[in-house]
Amino acid sequence: MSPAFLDAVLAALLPGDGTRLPGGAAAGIDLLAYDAAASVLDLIAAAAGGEAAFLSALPAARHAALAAAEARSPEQFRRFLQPILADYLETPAVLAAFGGSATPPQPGGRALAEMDRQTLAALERVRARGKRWRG
Amino acid sequence: MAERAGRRCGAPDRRHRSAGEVEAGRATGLLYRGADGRDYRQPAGCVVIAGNGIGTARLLLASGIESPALGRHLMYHPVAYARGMFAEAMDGPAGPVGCAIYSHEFYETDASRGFKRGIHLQVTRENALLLQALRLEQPWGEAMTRALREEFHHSIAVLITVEDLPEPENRVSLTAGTESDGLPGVKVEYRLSAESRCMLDFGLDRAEEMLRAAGAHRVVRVPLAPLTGWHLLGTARMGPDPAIAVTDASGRCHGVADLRIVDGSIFPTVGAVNPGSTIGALALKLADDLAREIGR
Repeated sequence: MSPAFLDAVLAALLPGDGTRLPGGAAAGIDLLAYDAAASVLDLIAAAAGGEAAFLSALPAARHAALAAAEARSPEQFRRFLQPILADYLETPAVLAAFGGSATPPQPGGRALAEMDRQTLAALERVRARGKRWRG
Repeated sequence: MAERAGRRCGAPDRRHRSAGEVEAGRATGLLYRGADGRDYRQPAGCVVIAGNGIGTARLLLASGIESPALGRHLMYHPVAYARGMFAEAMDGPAGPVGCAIYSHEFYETDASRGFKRGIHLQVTRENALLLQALRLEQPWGEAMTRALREEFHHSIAVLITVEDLPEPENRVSLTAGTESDGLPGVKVEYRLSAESRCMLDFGLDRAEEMLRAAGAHRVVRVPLAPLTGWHLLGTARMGPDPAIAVTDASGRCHGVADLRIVDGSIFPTVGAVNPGSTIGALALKLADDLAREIGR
């Protein structure tokens, strides 16, 4: 399996957005480090008609090859993908790009924004309404 | 393994086999296999079983206990949910996992709805990013990025939890084969009833109304949440009539003296979510009953 093929598969799997969201390679993902990689990569290459065909294919055709491999062996594909996603989506830069934080809230907890006047007024109406259930 | 009228059957725990011993219709002790692989007998004036809806039924069935209700009326708390997507950031992934707000507004039976019992609504925290991704239809490629951008920090889930009615077709029985522990295996037969389906659909409608009213621009309905079916209850239900109940109101097995069941299997109805507090309250009550009977 050539490094170029691995890079191309990773780019199709975890493309990033070219700006704030890093792709799989920039997040440090190495496909060969994961169980079941070899067999799933073989499925992808076979679906594309070989590694060379995958490398020369347009993005839509690469996507189709991954989708075909997933459809051919969904359980195997999911077992391959899950630990990759666990690493990728826990990368601080990836978390930040989706609006998350890699900093745990312990021990200080998480500060909550003060409730705005509109929400407080809405809750006051609920309190004034009284208990509905078994009231 | 319980012995009934001289017949020996069995039931294990995770480390070693343990069982009640019944002689001439009366529980007389415990047979168990220790970590050293040897079998022991512990005499007892009363045997108390707490294996819940699966384990208790398995033990009693494997012991040859006979009761028309034994193993039947298995009840869960089925779950559906609706997720609303919002344009504004909702800060949903902050805070502990669990129920943030719950509502019993539609909990009581209302005959006009066409089904018995009601629904319990829970507004929950949003999933962590990884869990959110794994629930997508295509958790890779640009489709994943687009979906996570739309949903993460921008969604609210409303769970609908309902109460199964006791239906005899939903049951626990023993397999013909033998498990690695030397005891019969367990077969669970369960089908979501039309009644529970009606409850879940009614709840999904209420959840979608809530989310739309709050400003959701898209609502995804999951009619039956995967990986649910919690709370295994009702398979040795209590009641005064041995024809339709396994124990009396003090957890005493109708068929065998000095054999008690103290767990969720004795629930005649499934009760509210969560059942842990009810099981605990029942255990306290049944322990008081037992203490009174043995004079303490």
